[in-house]
Amino acid sequence: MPTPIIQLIGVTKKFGSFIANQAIDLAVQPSEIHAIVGENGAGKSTLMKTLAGLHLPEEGRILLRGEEVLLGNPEIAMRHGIGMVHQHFSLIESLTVTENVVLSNPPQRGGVFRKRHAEQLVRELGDRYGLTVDPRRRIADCRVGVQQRTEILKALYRNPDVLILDEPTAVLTPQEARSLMENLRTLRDNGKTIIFITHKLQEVMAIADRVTVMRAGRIVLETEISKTSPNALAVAMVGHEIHAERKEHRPDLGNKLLELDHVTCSADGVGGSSLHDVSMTLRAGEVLGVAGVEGNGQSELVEIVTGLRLPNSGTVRLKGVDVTKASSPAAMRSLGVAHIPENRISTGLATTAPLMDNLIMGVHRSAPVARGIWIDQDAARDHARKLVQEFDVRPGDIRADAGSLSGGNMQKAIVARELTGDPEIIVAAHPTRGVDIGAAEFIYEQLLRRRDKAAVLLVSSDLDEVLRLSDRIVVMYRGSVMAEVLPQGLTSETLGLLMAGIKPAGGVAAPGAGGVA
Amino acid sequence: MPLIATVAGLLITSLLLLSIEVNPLNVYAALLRGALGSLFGVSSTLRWATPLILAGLAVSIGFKAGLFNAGLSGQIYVGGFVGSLIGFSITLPWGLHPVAAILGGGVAGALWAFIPAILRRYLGASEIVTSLMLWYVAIGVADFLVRQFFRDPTSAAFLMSVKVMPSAVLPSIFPVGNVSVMLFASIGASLLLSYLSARSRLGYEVRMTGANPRFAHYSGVPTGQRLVLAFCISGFLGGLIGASESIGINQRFVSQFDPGFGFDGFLVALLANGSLAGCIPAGLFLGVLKAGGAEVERALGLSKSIIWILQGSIILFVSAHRLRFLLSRLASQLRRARWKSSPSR
Repeated sequence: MPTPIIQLIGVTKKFGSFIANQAIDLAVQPSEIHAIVGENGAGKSTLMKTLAGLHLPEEGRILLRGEEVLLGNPEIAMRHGIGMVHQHFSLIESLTVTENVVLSNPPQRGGVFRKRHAEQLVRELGDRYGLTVDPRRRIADCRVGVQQRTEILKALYRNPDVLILDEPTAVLTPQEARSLMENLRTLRDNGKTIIFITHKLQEVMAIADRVTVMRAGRIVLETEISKTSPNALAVAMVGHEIHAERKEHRPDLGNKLLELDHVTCSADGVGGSSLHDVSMTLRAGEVLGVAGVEGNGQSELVEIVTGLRLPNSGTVRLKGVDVTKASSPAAMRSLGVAHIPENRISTGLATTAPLMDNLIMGVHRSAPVARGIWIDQDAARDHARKLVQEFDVRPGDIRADAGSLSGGNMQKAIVARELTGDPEIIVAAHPTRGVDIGAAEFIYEQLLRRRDKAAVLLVSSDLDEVLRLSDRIVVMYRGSVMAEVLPQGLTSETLGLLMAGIKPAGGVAAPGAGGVA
Repeated sequence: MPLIATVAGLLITSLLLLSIEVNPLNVYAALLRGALGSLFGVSSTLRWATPLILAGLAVSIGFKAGLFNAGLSGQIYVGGFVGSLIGFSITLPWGLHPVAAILGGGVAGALWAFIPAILRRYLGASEIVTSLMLWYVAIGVADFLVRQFFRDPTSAAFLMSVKVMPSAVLPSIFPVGNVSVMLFASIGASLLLSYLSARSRLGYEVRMTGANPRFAHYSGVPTGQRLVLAFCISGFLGGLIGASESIGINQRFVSQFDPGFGFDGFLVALLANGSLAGCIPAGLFLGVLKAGGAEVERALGLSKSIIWILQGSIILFVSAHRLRFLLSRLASQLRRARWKSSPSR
């Protein structure tokens, strides 16, 4: 076997008393695509950040091409040829693709930025690796897929030997994800070594050469792709079998809980989109899936239903009552609307506040947590502990800041809080984005359990999720309802086409005049 | 963290003192002697600590809600004017009169803070800028009114109002110096607000608004109202400072009476590190520095600015969030070096 390009020996990283990585031994061969999979909080990102020079391990050695190195900061790692594309983009929205890519070392002559030359460099770089971008476009005007290509180009601009990608497909449509996979293959064939973190096992099976499975800070499996199966990987990840089958469900439809009638709203500011004449009805007992590529009006739809935004025209009725004018988050919540927001850090939590404070939001208004003008500390603690236990939020220290939790555990905490008190309408926006299989299964189970008493509006760009949970699916495209379809017999390919604004030949099963039942 | 910063500040100041060939221990001894070594020293420390605690509290309340009350000085000024106005223009029974003047000053401060608060709430105008600008307005309006209507004709050199009624004077509770019952009021206010912030529903909602306004809004908290409330409480506390300076220390309104409590409030709040009750020790500590400074000057012939250097360097280290990070990084690097040099590997 050739010398591994990267070799970790006994690497241990602790955060306080929490051991994020324990005695990790890992070898990555040159020019391979190496996938790292594992649940949230398994230590994947920590390990990769260690490689990228963002964390210094307490113990262990890192060997690059057989020589020991000390990766004290990202700049050193980059000089050693390690580049990383992070899960959350670090692009400057007001600058162009080119300006972002060359930011670390802009081409200049006599102190003057050579813009044309830089654009040419970026175009050539993109062509070489099949990452097509418009070098002059501003980031704010680019689709997410293009932004990600820009991130990758930014890393490639430093000409690294090793490229690390942290959950690169989390925000992409199926089509974009497929093209990214192609790009990664091209990169490997050009001699780059790729390490990527993911939750999605199909991706691993499709393009990785080797895979490492992590669980609870340790490596539990490392193998060649040809010698494993998605099922074996899933079992290694969560430690037990999981069943990802859609359970057939005949909704027992109740009252109309939510009605949108010809709702229109205009776009605000940069990156917002508008809604045109959107009508839909949500009944008790069903899950209505809203599918669509991000930025086609789903966020605005969610904001209108949850009172965060007022429509320009049209009416919103909740349980038959017109709430169009009286809409506010407080009003909608008092009418029984729960909201799992699309962005857990900016909206869903106060990350600098203790977990307990995050969990009692909402229940702090009524007994037993509220006691007159006071918050009953014992009741609040009990409530928070109960949620932590029921929803298996780890680590479950309710005094720790919510921001110290991993992404999946933050999401579980939000779901726990929002499902408290049996809401009648549950608006779930991307409820399992960036969440591991185990936690996602758990969240699905919780949502489906609520379905009998409540209505669920599920907004997601994860097609498998939409297909699996929904009783009915609405596809949004450019702010309008593109189609309303039934999940039975619908493939993710057909759904993907509808999301791209293309009506497939032959049509799809649509709910008849008699509705779904 | 504030403790580490204090030690670091003392060290830096010591180096500076050594460089001018002064024994730092003598300076610190003089400082403590001046502040705590005599009844007068103690009373002087407490006199300064009273407004400092209130000012720190006012700033900290703003921080809790995510607001920056840069215009605290303006609210202090308005409170000082209205407090003295109640003191010299109306007659009330002894005992009631100071209370009315103090509360009146507080309300005036709260109203002065209300303006930037609603500008922030409805127009999104930065409260930092608007409240700071209103400070100048406060000085202009109060000085104008005093000059036109309430000026003490016997004082030609300084702009000051007539004296407040004897019934309005806030008496000293110490045999020497100028310590008033406001000392207990400031400590009481710290404890009360600390308890309210930690335990009441309103306090919780204010804290959540400060921690993440989007989260609070999404959760149905009326964030606009909470911001206004917190800012007005901050202004109220500022008004209390002004009023008690007017009827307690000066016994009249004196133009430019505020030696910079509005900004000292930020020092206290930074030292208290986000804790409302922590403003009590932080205010007392800065009170010691203020009171002891005079003795340093007198006994050692050093400029008082050495105290400002000490204050400044402590604050510098308190606000250096990265300090802790750098220290832990250094520790881990040392650990690593030791590990690498150990022969067993």
